[in-house]
Amino acid sequence: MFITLGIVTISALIIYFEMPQLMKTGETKTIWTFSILLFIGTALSIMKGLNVTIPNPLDLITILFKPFADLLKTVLKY
Amino acid sequence: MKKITTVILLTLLTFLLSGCWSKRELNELAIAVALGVDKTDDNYEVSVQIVDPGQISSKQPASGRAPVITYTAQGKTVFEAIRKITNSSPRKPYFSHLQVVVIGEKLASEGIEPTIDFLARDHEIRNDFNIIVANKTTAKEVLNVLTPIEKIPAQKISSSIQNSEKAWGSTLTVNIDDLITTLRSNENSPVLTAIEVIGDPKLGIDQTNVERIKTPVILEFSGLAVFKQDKFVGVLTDDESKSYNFLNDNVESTIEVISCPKEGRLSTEITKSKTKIKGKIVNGIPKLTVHIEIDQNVGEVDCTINLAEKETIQMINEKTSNLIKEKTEQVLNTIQKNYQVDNLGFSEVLHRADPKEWKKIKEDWATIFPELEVNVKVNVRTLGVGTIHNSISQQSKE
Amino acid sequence: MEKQVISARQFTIITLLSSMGTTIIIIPSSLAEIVKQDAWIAAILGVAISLLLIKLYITVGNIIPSLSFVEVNEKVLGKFIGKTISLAFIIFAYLSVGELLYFIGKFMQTEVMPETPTVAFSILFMLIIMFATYLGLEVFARSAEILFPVFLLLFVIFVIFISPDINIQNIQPLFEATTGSFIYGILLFISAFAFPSVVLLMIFPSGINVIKSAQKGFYIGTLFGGLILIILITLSILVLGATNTSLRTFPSYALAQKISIGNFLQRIEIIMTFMWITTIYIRLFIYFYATVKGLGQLLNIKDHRPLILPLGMIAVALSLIVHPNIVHSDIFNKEIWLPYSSIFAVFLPLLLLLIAKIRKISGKEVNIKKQPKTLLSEKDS
Repeated sequence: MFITLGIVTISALIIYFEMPQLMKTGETKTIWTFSILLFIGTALSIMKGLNVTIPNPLDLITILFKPFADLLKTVLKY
Repeated sequence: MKKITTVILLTLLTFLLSGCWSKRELNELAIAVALGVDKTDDNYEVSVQIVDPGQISSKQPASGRAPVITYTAQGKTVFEAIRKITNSSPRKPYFSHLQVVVIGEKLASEGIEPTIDFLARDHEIRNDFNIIVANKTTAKEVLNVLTPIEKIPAQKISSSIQNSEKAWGSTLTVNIDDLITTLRSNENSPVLTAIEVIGDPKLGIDQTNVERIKTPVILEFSGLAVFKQDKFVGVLTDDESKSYNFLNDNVESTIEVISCPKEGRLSTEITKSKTKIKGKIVNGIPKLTVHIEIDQNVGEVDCTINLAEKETIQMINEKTSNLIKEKTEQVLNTIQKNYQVDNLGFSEVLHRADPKEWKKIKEDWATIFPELEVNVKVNVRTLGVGTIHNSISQQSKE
Repeated sequence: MEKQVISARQFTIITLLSSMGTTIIIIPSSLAEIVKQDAWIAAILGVAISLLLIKLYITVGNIIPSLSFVEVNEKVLGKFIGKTISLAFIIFAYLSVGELLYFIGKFMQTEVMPETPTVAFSILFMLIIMFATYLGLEVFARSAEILFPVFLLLFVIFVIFISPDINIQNIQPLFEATTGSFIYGILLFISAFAFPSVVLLMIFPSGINVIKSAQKGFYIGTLFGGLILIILITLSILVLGATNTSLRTFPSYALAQKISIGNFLQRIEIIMTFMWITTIYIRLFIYFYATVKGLGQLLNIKDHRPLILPLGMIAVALSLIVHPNIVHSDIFNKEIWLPYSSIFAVFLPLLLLLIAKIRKISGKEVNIKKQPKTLLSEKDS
């Protein structure tokens, strides 16, 4: 509960400090990227705060590269 | 304005420097100086010797309370038992100042590896303490003896084992790193120093033990404990332990007593001793040569010999070297034939000498070791005779 | 933000400290596990081969010296493919940020403060990195310059004080490891030591004032960083022995614990930890800076600074996601990291070189052909 609140507060603070400046420059790309990233960040942090298991990108990489790792193992016989 | 803000910010930052997340104040720590591990039936019994800082401090007078307290607890594993100690101890034990770990005889016979795993894995426990085995007693008994001169018994054990190693040579300081390296190898077995409680243990727990001129109960080292892998199998006598240390290049200084040609004895003080073990594998058969180089002085003369003659010194050299050779060969025999465990690092010597050949015979080391041919060569030089020439008894006869 | 330029010497220091990174703490253990007491030999060969890899990076950097790696990707491979590969590269760097944050947290938690949650360290560290990225490369380079002499002093003290405990027998017998083990050990070493240096291409040579000295700096930094690693690995074998080195998760810390001079200079391993924190800080900054800068260049955003806070937030969350426990981290670093990072650290640079040669792209031609646009994009990066 508190963690979620804390994270939301931090995100709100970030928006408070960064947005006015960004709006002034009028760069829509930056504003969009900033907002999307901030949203992802807040969402991930809250999910982690609530101990939700998030799929691990390294696991995907492991699946992709395990065959090479095993190949190396058998070839070098270490 | 900016400067002041910066200064204020920096000052505020320093408040964070001391950090307080994992803090443990000094008065929350129970400083454990010794740890004793025993086995009772199926459970581990752990004894922790905790220092009472008020009784150790030199500023306050001792008020009759014991300088150390022993707390005991039982558990299915060592770790569990240690945590359970908080049931009786006012504070959680803090192990970073551990001086000695005592392993009870019964537990040692069953195997010390589980205990060692805990000691290695825990982050609080460092690697600078000694490990010893309690001989003919339990670790708990060993830790329940108050010692004179050294207020903290663990301190006494620790300095005693080091001093004895340097001055007499029948003990061995073993720390956990060495122990792990030896335990992990299949061919080597460790040795640990064995400690005994001399006297009635029930008297040792009292201050009265240290209030007398003759302490009724003392802790004494009784030789080296031999292990097969991680199980305790026997103890080498004091003399045998000394010879073992000769083989292991662990002797710094000791005394040897030789018999004079006519009658009487002569003591020599060994000041320097260096042992080199060389190995080679010829036709699949390993051979080892042990070279011991010794420098000594004459320490005590209890016979009628003329120390001013060159021949006498030569005789002393020969006799000492023969004596040491005999004793080392004897202990080699005991270790090879009776115990049949390689605790002298011979396997490593051969491994280093000829890795390829060693690989071939590695598997059969257990059968090769008892029959291993070891040649011992001892070279003794007597450099000095002390502050007088011939002995008083000699002078008086002339 | 105006273009940040650092000196060649600063770059050398950054390379030196960054190449050590987390390698200095975990490689002795993995290496000793594979080649046992010959770990030092594998390290020496690893450093030698790494210098070849550095040559590759320098050549790739020279394709268009004024552009960063991400921008070069675009120019050489074309807009669409280039941007996709750049995105993959940025994600590669970003995931490593998460990994490093996890690692520093785990290290501090295991050895120093076990009751503190790993994320506390990650957050504190990330705050510093975010602030450094905000202040820019120049400020960071100056901080590296300040930290470097301290690091060096601690290292020299470390080597001197641990030397009495050397047992020369621990390194014998020599050359006992099999060829296969040696090859894998060397590859593992290179993957942890040199592969991460590909990320330095984000600031090399575009961010350095004199290109020639920068190239020399790249070599020297890597060489001396490797030298320090070799010394450390050798000391670890000589003092702890191969068994203990491969047993411990953090053998360098155990090594520092052993320092005991005259019974009073003991228990100073926490001061030695400062060394490790420094190297991790430098490497972490490089990865994060590369991510932020790279993302900015990918999306053609003028000022990358607003992205720092959200990216930092995700990074902390990443540090909690990438490795559920230390065993997962160990296995990943021992087995998967080598093939995975080689894609970005070996194959991608080679690909870029090849295509650049085919398309005859060089710094001069680009300037001549697309002069107006290039000037503008130079200003922005």
